[in-house]
Amino acid sequence: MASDLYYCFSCDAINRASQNRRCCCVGTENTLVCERCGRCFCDAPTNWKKNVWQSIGEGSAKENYQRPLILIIDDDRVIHSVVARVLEDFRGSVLHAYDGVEGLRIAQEVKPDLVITDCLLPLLDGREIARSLKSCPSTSHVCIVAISGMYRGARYRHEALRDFAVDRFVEKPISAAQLRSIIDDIVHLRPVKDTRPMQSGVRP
Amino acid sequence: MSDPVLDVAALRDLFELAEGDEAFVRELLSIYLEQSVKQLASIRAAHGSGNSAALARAAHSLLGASVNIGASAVAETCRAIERRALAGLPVPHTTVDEVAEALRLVRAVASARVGSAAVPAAAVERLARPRS
Repeated sequence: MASDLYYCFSCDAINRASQNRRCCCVGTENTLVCERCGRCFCDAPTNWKKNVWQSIGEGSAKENYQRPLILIIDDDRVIHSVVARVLEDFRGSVLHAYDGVEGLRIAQEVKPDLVITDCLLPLLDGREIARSLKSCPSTSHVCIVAISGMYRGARYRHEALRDFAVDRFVEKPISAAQLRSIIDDIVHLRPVKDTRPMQSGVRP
Repeated sequence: MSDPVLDVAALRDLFELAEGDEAFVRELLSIYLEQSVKQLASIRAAHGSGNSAALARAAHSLLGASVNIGASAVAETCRAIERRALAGLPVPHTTVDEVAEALRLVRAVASARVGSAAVPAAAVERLARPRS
């Protein structure tokens, strides 16, 4: 694993210090430029610079994330905004990934407390992300909430919980109340396992 | 009856999520419209190349985003494209154009000027109603 990961203070994208270009701001230390939003870190908050910027090269920035650390994986940016908005009520850090491969990579590296993932993602299905994380001892503790607008009904819920080992399965559209409840469970370290009885043949 | 440009119930959900913050709902609509440009381009590219699997994926991507934001007409047209593509059936060019037209209507509705009144119910109705 590389040890040069850091997150952008502006858009939360995960970047690799070794692969990113530097800005050309005059009179600055010429900081790295975020791969996604294109913003450099010259005007980053002092606290961010202290915690993250200075840690690059001295170890992974993941240790500087505030817990609980929550990773959102969805190719719909609207979902990212909605979830991030709900998460404003909680302490912690939010990371964003926009396809399955990127999401799995970040999850394996930073071991978030909670992964909220769409099921049907570009490159890798969200349920496969869950299976990968749950089958590896170093990430099996990560709580995973799968959301889906495509896979609906008891059959898919059952499959996601049993075969893919997700902790919760939520059908879109997801409500703020649902999200708050889920995050609240994680923040207060309450079990998040979906304990609702299985239903068969009817849509929950 | 045709599908609404923006579904009032979905917008109400968004307003609830935003706790009545109309500016945030507008921001979400803006994000949706911004990403829809790329998603529509992906649909056109997959359609043009005759790649059914890629077309189904591209249509599904825009479908999911449209359901979330309540863009019902876009969602239903994407759903039709996805189903045909998954079944290996040809997708008429006009259906792809219908997606573009539905998106144009969403953009027109979303950009409609609204007043400063922050009553969510009224704002929802305003946002959902196409300009005449």
